[in-house]
Amino acid sequence: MNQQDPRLSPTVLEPTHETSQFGGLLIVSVIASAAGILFLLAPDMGWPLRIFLTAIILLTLKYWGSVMVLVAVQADLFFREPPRSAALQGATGLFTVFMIVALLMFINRNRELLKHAASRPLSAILSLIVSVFRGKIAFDSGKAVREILQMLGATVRAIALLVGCVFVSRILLGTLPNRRTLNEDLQGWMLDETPVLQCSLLLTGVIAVWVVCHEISWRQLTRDQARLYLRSVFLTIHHADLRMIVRGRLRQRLKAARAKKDQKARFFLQD
Amino acid sequence: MIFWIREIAGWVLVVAALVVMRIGLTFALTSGSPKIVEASVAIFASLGLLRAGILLIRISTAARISTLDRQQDKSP
Repeated sequence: MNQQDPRLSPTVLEPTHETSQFGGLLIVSVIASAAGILFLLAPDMGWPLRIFLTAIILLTLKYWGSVMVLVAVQADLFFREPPRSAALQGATGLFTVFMIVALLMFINRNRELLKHAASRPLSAILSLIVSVFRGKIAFDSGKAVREILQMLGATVRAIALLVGCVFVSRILLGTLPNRRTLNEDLQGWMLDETPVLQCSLLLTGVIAVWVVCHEISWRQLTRDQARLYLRSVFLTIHHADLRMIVRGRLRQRLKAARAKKDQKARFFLQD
Repeated sequence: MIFWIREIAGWVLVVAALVVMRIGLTFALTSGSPKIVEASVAIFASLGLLRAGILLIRISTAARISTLDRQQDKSP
């Protein structure tokens, strides 16, 4: 449960980027880190094509979050095999994996900021950054210190989560057959039932962890969100007819609003 | 107290769903003679159980948050 002072934290309806002292900086860091990783991929490809693909992925960050970055990384890994690059082996490989997973987490964490940035022209973001450097924006130092403390806490949690995710993934992937022992492992799988049962146990365990993680994140509800959810569930279960009426009225209102908008546009064109 | 009972019931349902799901996966993954129909029935039942369990947990959590905050509002 999230017990926060409403004077210090933004409400459900107020986006973080409206109140954050570091909104512009976060937007720039998300875009810069994504662009940096994307430029490191596919070193054999020509620069114009790399710039084009990077631009496409950056432009779709608003809609897809980190999915397109993940697809690009997977495509790069696919086309590199075989032989595997020396950069992806040993300690350097582990560090690369940490960096990529951290970037994916960072992009997903700041999706609202990306949507906000994409809804504004580029010149507005640049002017925001310039005005921050020139000191034109009123900087509340107390609020900034509180935000820095919150960001530090979030960073420590993210590092712990990242280390846990990477090491658990290594253990799970280590149980799968690799290229050298593939034939022997497949023969073992065909003759022996034990690995199959282990596989079903593993899948069930993954689903259990997924459920637990979702329920932990569910406990970060604010009071307003909890009330809204309760009303929604109550209406869905006990008053399906009322829900149908409300949805019908909402649809009618939406149609009326659209018709009004079209009418205004027609008048504007006639003038 | 009623919230905790509801939450425990929800977790029990989730665990039961996982057990049924594992039984279904074992049916499907048996290499000798995979029982696909039995597996699909078991998986379908487990998804129903999982959904009911998660709904119970979420309702109890949301209700507890609302009640706690109301109590805090009343206390000076």
